[in-house]
Amino acid sequence: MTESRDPIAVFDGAALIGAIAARSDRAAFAALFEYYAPRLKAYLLRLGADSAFAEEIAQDTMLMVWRKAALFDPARANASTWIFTILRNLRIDALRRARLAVVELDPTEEPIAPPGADSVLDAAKRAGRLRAALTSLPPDQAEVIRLSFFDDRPHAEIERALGIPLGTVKSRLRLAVAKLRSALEGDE
Amino acid sequence: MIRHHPADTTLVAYAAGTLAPLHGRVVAVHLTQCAACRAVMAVGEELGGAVLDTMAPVALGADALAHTLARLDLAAPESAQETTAMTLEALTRGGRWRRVGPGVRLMKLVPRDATGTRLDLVRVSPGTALPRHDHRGAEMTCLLKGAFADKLGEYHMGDLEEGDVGLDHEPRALDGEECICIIATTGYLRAHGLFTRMLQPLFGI
Ligand SMILES: [Zn+2]
Repeated sequence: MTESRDPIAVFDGAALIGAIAARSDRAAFAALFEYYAPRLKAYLLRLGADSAFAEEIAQDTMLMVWRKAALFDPARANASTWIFTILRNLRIDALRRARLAVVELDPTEEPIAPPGADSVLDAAKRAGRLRAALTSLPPDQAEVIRLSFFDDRPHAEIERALGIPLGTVKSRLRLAVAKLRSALEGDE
Repeated sequence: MIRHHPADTTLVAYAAGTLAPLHGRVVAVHLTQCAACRAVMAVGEELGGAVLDTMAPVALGADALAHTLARLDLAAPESAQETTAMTLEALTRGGRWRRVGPGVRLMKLVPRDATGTRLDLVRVSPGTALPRHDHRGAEMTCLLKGAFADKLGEYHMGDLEEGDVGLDHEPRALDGEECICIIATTGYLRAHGLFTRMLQPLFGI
């Protein structure tokens, strides 16, 4: 990473995805798998998936990483963000097939490019800054972010989980997003 | 100029993949027209990457890697992926408008799903008001054509209104041009007064 004081180290998957795209590098795939598959599984379990579903979607996500490696643009997104969006879309597809949900979100598998993201260095810098900013959020703001990712429920129900009014959930998240954005856009 | 946006909570939930899918469809229509919300959405997706990085790993089955490696050379299934309809033209293709009351027509896009949410287009003649009603579930509306107003404000092309549980309003199309919206509705609406029966198909009650 370019910023050594990052409290959370960022695994550099971009080079490995590049190796898969360039020469179908199986060793690179195995290294990516070793890092991401157990985290994909953990995330799905945290979202309430059973073990078999979590394992299946984690493996399908990695398979999709292999197939789509050539589409990965390290200037647009860091590897974790890209892989997260693949996981998200596969999970939604699987839920829809299971008739728990009916319609996909946007089928775009590529993450939305952040404004001004135009180089690999920028993407890596953003990833480092975001993670640093995340760890410095007040706990109440970090909590609403966590619940956005770990709870398959409308935010109106998060208010029940936290015992705070919906307006407070919204304003906490707004504060958190504003802080993260200014950390991302601030020049150093 | 878009003035009404989804809440950050909604955009982050959409990026996370935890928003009800049909509400996501309405958000997606707004995003095609709103750079400001696309920027928030991008932060949400980056958060997703950060969340992944911070998960404590949970081991897969012993043969998971071998199993996946064995699948790498299989041909990818034909991707039957079509683009999701985002424009009025694409959304109405092949659909049918049904008259549900004076000056109000409805086109069903997706019937009520397992979360109790349905997706419709509603087309209202200039100056026509929908009967006052309140919400027992969340509602998400994005303007595709024309404009309407209710007590929360005035809504134009691309604007998105989020109606939370308990919203009690009487939306009215502005004069001059018909108004067409895409609406995701969770749960059932409760109409006040005499028009209840008239809008039965719309309210699903
Ligand atoms: Zn917006």
